[in-house]
Amino acid sequence: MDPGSLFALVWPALLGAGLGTLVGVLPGIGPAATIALLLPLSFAMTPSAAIVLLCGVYFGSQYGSSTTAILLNIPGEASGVVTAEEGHRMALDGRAGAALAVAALASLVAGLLTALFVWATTPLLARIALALSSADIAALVLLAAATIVLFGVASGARGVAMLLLGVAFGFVGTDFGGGLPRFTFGVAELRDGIGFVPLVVGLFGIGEVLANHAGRHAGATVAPVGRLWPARTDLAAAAVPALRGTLVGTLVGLFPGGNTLLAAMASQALERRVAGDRDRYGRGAVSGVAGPEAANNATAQAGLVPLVGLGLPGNPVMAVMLGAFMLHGVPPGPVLFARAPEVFDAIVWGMVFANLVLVVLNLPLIGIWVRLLQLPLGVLVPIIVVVSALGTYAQSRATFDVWLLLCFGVLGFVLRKAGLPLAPIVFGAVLGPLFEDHVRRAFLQARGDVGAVLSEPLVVPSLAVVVLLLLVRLRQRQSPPLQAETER
Amino acid sequence: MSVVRVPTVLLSRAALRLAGVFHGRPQALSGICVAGFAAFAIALALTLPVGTVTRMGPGFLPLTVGAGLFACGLIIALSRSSERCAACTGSVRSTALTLLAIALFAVLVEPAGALFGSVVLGVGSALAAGLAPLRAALAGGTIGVGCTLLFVYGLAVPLRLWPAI
Repeated sequence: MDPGSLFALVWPALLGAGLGTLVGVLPGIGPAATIALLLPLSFAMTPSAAIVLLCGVYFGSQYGSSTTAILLNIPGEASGVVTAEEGHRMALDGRAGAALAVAALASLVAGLLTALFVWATTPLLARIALALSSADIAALVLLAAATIVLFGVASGARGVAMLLLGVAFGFVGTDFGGGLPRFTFGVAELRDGIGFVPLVVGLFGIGEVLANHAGRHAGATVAPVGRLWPARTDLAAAAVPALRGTLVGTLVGLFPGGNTLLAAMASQALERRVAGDRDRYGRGAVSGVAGPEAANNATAQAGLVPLVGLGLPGNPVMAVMLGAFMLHGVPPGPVLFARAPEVFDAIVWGMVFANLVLVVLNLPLIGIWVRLLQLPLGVLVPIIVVVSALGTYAQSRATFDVWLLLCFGVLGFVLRKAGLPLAPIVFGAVLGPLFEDHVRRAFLQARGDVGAVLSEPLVVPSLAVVVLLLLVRLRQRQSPPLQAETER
Repeated sequence: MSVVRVPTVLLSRAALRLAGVFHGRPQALSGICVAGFAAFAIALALTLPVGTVTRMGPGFLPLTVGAGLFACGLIIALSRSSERCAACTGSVRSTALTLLAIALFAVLVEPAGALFGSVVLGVGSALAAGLAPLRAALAGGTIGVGCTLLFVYGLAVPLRLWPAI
């Protein structure tokens, strides 16, 4: 990329990283809803700048979450739960500054290494994807959906139900096969389907406000930050766990259903067994901060490999990102590399810039975020609500979308109250139409021959893995769930 | 007992029994709601050409998904889990006020302009968030004006600020 194009990516990376840190620090609106909210605003940008901005939000939310996890023992994002265990103990021990620095530096190492990995592997994956048939893609989508609902939510039936609900929302619109309106109830605005922005912002933004934040005030005690630069012994104890965390996080991020909480938990479990300071667990172990923080950042970024290479999102935030790619006219997968290769270069450089910016935002400027933690929710709630409604209206200039936002807000509220997970709905809404398109196309191309569809190289292996995962999950039914709803 | 009273009493008893079944079992109610939604989706899907597995019509996958959703609803309803949102703290008043503020925004934004609509939304949601009326008017109004100006002038989104004449 030429220096001018590179320079043009700095400010979206800075803005995205800043907003992401804000989202990570403040409870309320998560990265998925923030990315959805920024979609209308990003239309004024080039696709490259817009995607870098939105990626920055996701990466920034991981950094920001560690701040509240360490200082308050309240993670702004799900993955911070793991960091909070050892990080907050370090803070109580008067080493909050060291814990914050270890978290930021481990995330930086993971971020830069993962950017290199994404740069090296994604084009290869896209080249492989060129050879995939519609049947293969439909089978991969089914595998992704099965992994997400079987291992990504608290209970199989609840996860499947919410995934199918999302798929049902995805059916609304005009049938691509015959142009027949489907589930539109004669409403002209529904002929193009349910808007992605009102769906995501309603479920995650307004639903969250209704369920949790209206009428509540913050008031937690923030631990003093103290000296920011960690001791040499802390850095030595963090180095190898950060590298291990990067490896774990990258692997987790490559698979569907793999999200930042899962990666942080896996990294912590590994460090408890192999880290040099494993005897300090429960009293503020540095490896318990470095490993999980590196892992969650690596996962957030490695999720771009299947998304950009294959067009398959591995977690809800990536599903929203997929929507962003589509809305900007750069569908991920081989098409992106053929039509707009500069977008991929921009993503990789954006990852590098965002990670460098995030270290600055989260170490020398930590005081700003600490002060923001004192912000009363009475001010935060109106900001979320106004930006949600105005942003939704601005992207289509149709009041119908505001009414949809209201409906999805109520739905998000009701489902939260019922303890049902929301993330699979977004998956269903994004993956459902993709699955239907490819499965119908596959049978059309095979002239209805089931044998021909099954003979495609990835179909039988993918279906076999789905059955295997189902059996594994059934065997684990009595064991505690792997994770609660994670990415908001 | 009169002819009308018998079914009324029977219905009341059935309702009480049903309420007893659902009391303390929110999963049962949510499962029934999911199954009800699925039944509605199935009914709608059946109005479309369904086709076969190898020649799917527009109703085929909606019907399949509806059947799956219905089964999941029944499983949830019959499960013994009592999981519910432990962190949910929003009150009925604040929930109703937030929804009312969004509805007012939807009604006002086109005839009265984005500025007025956003101010009403900001003030309503600030009241919902528990601020006293004067503080809510100040904070919500400032947020409404600030956000609208950010969209219109900062991000060049072509929104109409003032009422249509």
